Amino acid sequence: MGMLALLLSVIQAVSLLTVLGTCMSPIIPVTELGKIQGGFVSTLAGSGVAGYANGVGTSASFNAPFGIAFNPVVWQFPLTGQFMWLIKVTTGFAVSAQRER
Amino acid sequence: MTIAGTGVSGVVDGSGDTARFSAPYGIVWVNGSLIVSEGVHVLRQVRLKEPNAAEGRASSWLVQMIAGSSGVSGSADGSGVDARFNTPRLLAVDRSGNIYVADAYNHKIRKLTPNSGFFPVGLATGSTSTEKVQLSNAGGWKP
Repeated sequence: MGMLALLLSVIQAVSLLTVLGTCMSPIIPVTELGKIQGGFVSTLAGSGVAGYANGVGTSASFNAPFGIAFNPVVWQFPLTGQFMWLIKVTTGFAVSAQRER
Repeated sequence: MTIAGTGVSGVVDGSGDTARFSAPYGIVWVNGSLIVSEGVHVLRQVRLKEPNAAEGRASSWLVQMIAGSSGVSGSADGSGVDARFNTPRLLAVDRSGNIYVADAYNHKIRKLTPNSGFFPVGLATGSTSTEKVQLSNAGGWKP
């Protein structure tokens, strides 16, 4: 216990806040707990060229999509532009569009 | 109540009472944190600093950049700050916590797949060489 107390004191003294993860994990700075590590951004659909082409994934085209919503069956993307379009992206990222009335 | 933002335009991360937003547009709630799209081509996260922090105080919240580069438009896929957006607008989230972005002027639908450090709630439970922190929900957390 004495060694543990000494160790804790040293840690506090140098403000080296660490925790030890489980399963032989390396020491992790506490300051990194909660720090966002990022994430990976990928392109789900859209060629990058403005348009209204249906297709799969990046072969489809959007024109300045602003809205997006998720439901368990399809993703739906109301688009802006001269007309309002409702775009559905189904499993496999197939894009189909219909003009809203 | 205001949980983040001073009312002065800017892109400043940090405590909710000092952080600044430029043009927040879309917002979603994902596993205990808010993800906000900014007109300056970035996504930012707003979360409580501690699981039991007072939600009504801006000083209890923390704002951090998670993807994109402030003021730099582009269309690059990649990790976090390496990715580029061009005016990200509304956001959606699926059941797994993936975030979908209407990337308006790239004319694309983008997907942000979070890593284990993305939801900064609670306790470290282990790590790998590439993911320093793996987190799990802490007791008492109110998602």
